[in-house]
Amino acid sequence: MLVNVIVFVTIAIAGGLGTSWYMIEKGSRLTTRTAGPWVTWVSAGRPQADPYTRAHHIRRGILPVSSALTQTFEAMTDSEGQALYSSCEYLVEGEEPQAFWSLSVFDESGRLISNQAERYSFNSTTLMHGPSPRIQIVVARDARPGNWLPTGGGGRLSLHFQVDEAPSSLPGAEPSPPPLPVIRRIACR
Amino acid sequence: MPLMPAWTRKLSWQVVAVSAVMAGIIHIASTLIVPKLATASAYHRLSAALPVNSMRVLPPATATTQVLPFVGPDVRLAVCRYDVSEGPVQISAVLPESGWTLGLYTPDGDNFYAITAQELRRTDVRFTLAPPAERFLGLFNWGRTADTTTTQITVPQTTGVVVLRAPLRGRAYQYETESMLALAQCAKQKA
Repeated sequence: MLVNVIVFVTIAIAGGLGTSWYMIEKGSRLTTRTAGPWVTWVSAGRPQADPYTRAHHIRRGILPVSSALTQTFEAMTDSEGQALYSSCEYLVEGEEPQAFWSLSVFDESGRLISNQAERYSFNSTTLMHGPSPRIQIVVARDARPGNWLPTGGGGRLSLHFQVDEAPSSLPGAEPSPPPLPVIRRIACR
Repeated sequence: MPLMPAWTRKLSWQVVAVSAVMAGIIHIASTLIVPKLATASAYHRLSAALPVNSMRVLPPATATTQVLPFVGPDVRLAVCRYDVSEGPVQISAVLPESGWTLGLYTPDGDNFYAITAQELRRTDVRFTLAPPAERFLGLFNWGRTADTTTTQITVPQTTGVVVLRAPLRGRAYQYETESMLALAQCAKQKA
């Protein structure tokens, strides 16, 4: 009898709630696309969005722009799979998309991280380019030369890479995935 | 050596089957109920900060002025919290260049209508938000003159938000972007 009760509670309640939490928080192949550390919810902000996508965004207080217009990618880890922390320094590097893009850093609750420079992001017009037309942004607590995104005291970090629909996209066509930068951990305190 | 632990012999397969079905029911119910229980949704946050049926340009997002989570300073927003329960609401806005979008959201965050600026072409947008039953009331034109010059959008719920989103292409464009956002209007339709 006791075995049956324990099995019922484990499968029905823990299994039901646990899988629901996982699908809402992390998503699955049905609802998200993953490329390295970057995750995007494929039907975000669309009228036909699935219940997991809706719950994910409403729970986090996000008002999503339709993923047909702007693709939003979130990274909570570096390219090696290690969680992003404000006590570490990262280099975000990669090919630059053709459309308007922005890279913003938040704490894990989506708050901008207070800093004296009042710098929270870079985009395709504010990025300082080196000799090559590539994205090179250092995410670090202390000031760095070049494109520096401050992260002092943020705890766990969330990087958001947003890319508008490419101007050449056909109306109604699904946007093709943009080139996504890699996130390399340089050092940790 | 037995393949299965001894306790599994006491397990009823009917209990396992019922547990699996219950897990499915709990999974579906909890997924669907999360949006209804959310108290920190974007709509709730905006409701606390905005008047009804009035367009407001939100301040540039900084660590102290940020209204919505995960919205960075590369985007400027003008937002109207609409309520059509006492009549239609008129919306007008200008989308001057690509990247500008105007979206309509239900309180549950469903983006049920979106329009985007055309490449290299200024887009003037003007439409009326009508309550869910307005189409039928409109047949009799009760106490109102039918406005046939603007597009009418029947909203799925009486309340929601209109969000005009503008990419901020650097601080040099801030004044220009704010000026264009300030042209957006949201007001109850006059009788």
